[in-house]
Amino acid sequence: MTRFEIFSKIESICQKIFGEGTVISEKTAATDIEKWDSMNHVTLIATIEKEFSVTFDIMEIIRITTIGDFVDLVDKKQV
Amino acid sequence: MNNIPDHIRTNLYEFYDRISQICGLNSEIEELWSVSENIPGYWPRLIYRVDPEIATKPSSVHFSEKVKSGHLPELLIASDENIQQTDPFLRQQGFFPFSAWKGMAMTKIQNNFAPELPVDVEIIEPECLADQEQWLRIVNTELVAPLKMDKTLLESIISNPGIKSYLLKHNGVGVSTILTFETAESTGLYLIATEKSAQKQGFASLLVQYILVQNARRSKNPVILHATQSGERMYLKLGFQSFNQFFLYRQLKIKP
Repeated sequence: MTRFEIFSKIESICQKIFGEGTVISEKTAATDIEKWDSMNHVTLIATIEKEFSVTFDIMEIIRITTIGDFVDLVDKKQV
Repeated sequence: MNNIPDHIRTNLYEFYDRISQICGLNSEIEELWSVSENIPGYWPRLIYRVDPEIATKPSSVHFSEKVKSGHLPELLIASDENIQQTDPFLRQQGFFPFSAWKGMAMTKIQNNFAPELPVDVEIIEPECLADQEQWLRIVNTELVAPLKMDKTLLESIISNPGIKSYLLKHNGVGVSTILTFETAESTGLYLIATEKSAQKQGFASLLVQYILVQNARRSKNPVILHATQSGERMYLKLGFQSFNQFFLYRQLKIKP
């Protein structure tokens, strides 16, 4: 899966969680989206793990601040 | 991580135990975990703690039963000792990690540490209604949202011995907050928040330095706080040392 494909899939997940029409870029952070609270953050992590069949290490999770960080992690974990 | 004695590390747990008591929350304290049942959406939300040993001890069954019974916390705290063992166990229970705090301590406060307040800055303990409302507005909007703390709760918290609230005002308007919790062995700083429009101007740093001096005048006890990743650098600059990491978990109620 290319980086663009990973981003597109994460973008679609974000729109399901934060609402259709939510504008996402790799630089988008929690502070940019009103609905990105701790509950939705947890949902986002769990959904991305399931969709890409990956598990993030706890130390990786706490360093995530932007959508680009999710893309990097999924990209890194692809076999 | 620095070698900080155990009795200093527990300020966080003592703080939430005390707040739960003040709020009249139903609490259970077990060897490996404790729980206070709260009202979802209301502060305090950090109402559960788990011991690093929970993943390996038989009493974890009781924890699992509690989780399954539906008496669930919104958030849970695990410390970094054995976190690689605790994390899979907590995930099995339906909890996912989402953030971490760095436990930080200042054990020796320099005598010349007192900051000089600029003429347009004052630090007060909010007593009048207007100041309390400003304090609550900052805490309710700038900390992990959404949460709700009202005037009645604030009043009952700060009327307790050992707990004080402070408001830093810039040009007469409240911009930064702190709540201090003093035990026999340490002073904890909580609810450190700065209004978004006033961030990155040094107000939180000034308020923390002010509290450090106030604390040093009263006792030689160390000062403890729990920093987010973005706040850690500022506290290191002030002389705090990291001693532990606390991981925050939320229960995932909706299956992805």
